[in-house]
Amino acid sequence: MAGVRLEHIFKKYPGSDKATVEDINLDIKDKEFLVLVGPSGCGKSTTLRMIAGLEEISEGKMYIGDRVVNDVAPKDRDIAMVFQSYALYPHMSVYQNMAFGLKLRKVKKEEIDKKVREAAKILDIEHLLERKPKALSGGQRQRVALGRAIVRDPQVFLMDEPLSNLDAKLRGQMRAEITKLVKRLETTCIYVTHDQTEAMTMGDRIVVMYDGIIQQAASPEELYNQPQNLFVAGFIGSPTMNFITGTLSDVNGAVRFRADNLDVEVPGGKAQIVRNKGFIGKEVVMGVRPEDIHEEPVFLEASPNTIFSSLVDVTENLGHEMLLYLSGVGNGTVIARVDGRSTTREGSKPKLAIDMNKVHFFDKESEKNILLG
Amino acid sequence: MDSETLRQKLEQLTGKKTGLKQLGRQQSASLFGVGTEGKEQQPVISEGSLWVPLYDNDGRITTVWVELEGLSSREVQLVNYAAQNFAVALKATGFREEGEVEARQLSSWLNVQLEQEKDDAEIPDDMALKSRLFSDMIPFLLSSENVHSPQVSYRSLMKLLRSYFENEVLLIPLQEKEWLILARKELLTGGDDKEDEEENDDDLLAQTSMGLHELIASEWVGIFHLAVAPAVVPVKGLTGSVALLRETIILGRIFQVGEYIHLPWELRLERLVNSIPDTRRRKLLGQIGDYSSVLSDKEMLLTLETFFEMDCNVSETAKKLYIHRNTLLYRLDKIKQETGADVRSFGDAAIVKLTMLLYKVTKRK
Repeated sequence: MAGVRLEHIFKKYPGSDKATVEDINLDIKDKEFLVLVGPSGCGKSTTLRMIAGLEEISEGKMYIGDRVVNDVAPKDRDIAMVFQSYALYPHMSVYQNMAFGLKLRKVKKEEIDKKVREAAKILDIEHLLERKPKALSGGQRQRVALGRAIVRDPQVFLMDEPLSNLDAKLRGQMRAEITKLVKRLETTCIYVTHDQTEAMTMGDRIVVMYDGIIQQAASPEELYNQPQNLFVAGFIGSPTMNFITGTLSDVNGAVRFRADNLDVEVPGGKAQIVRNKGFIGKEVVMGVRPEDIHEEPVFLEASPNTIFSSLVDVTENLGHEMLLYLSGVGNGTVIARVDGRSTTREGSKPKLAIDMNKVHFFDKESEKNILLG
Repeated sequence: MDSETLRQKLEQLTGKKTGLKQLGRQQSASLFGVGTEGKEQQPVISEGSLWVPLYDNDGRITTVWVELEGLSSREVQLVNYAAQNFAVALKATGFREEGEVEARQLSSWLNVQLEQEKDDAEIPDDMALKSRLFSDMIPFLLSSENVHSPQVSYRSLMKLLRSYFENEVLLIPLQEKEWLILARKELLTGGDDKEDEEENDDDLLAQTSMGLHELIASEWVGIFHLAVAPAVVPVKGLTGSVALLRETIILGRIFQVGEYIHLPWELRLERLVNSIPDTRRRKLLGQIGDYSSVLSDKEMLLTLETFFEMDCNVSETAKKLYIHRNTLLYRLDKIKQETGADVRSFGDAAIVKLTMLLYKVTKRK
């Protein structure tokens, strides 16, 4: 097994004005499950393909283990890749699909048979070994693609959106299975997805990319609780974090955040940071997650300086929780996530309070989290 | 001269039975000696025949043999001498693997036809491979970027393809970095194995290309473009298919940047735009209006490309881009605001699509 290191990696296509991937620096540890996540066109798949050797590196150095692999052919990198499109060999049976790579490497027949059957057992496709890919469902095809990668026993697994062709239920199931499988095989895994749920549930570490640049690389908890900028804050979490534009002001020694129909006190620690960094009197963006807006009387009683009132436009009861779509606060709709047993109804104007210990403030210009660094 | 001609000459000379045979590693070693790699292997007499080594393929020696029964010792000496001379002449042609010479012969002819734009030329009788070109075959064109392996040998690629296509394949090296692969259609369609009639030829070819691309990318050389054309009977239609494949790769490089599998039926409009002379294209682009703010914005360009790819279906586009439907509608409104074109209407969509293609072909030169 091996780690992977990317040093100042750039990718620029001929004729393109801008780099598709820009100055990527990453140190992926041995046996780590790293997820590259971001919207379409952010450069995550290109980065993965450069690691695989399927895309030329325009600038920078790529290491697998201690070896620079910029000029090493994919077959000699000891990696196995699983694609979104599965890319199975259509004229071969499932068994042949899984065995083919080993056959090319002149592995003994008995050894191939053992490995294929072991992988098939792990993936629960033993009964499909004689079938051709066209006789398989999407989920089964994806398992075969995984099986083909597993039997090669690579140093690194590379997976490019392997679940995005599957329906939601199967995706959830396969998500757990892949995580379990990679842990069991104790192999480094680099996984590309657009889906933040996949990223949050599967990765030891997540790299959020946007516009060819790494926005933040951190553990799922850190990304959620300490987003470095507006993009990460808005990308991770569902429903997304609420952003309210307002001004920070000093009122009798206390720092307050003021926006349309909102006037709340910033707690001491955070107040000191924004004061020290010179944001008093300036317009900033406050980020507050839906679950940090409360309606419970106990919370309201304990937080008299963060109470506001807002019109409930829409309610969505999901059973275990209810989403309140609030209008009139700041510059757009604000979503609050409250208990599923809430009695709040559409058209009402309840009192709510924000847990100000959990909010973030972002610089309006640079979009960076003011409270970090 | 090829090995078959050599065999025929020996047969004429001796009037005895002759043959060509590739020996296994073990048999090669026992007949011609172990560890003879790099040294000139000598003919040997074994089991009443003279065995003349022609070339060594990873320890497997291909030989021509001549039955010696009834020949005097002087005649055997002469046959031995003649066979050795023929073998030397054969090696001097740079011949390394059975099939390569024939493939290169076809390649030279194909290149001449393509240069002269004779897309419907029929393969002449003197082509050694002609007898193998009468059945339906699927042509693939592989254009390598050769980043990791500057020297790609016919032998290594052929070996890989033979394993993949179960020996039912022809490999024609067209240019230094360009290879034509002909695979038998029945192998890929599964012959009588028609359990899924719904799958059409285009889908099958696309899937086959993905599989082949994955195979060659991961097992041989990483970065290359691959195009596939519909099945053809090569003896009549090969030149036309190769011309189509070459054009497809050229179009793919221009219009599908970042993609490596190119399918001709997905590049029809691109073919039309590319056929317009450059000055005319630039003039047209100027006349259509100013779309530069939208087309130079990566996010907007991706949005439009996906929207057209999804047949202007808002929900499907949003799903494919992994964005909310409203976000997509906002972007489409923004495009309308900036350019005056509402891509939800067919007329405007057609103009924007053409503008995008013109923009790509003129800006990405």
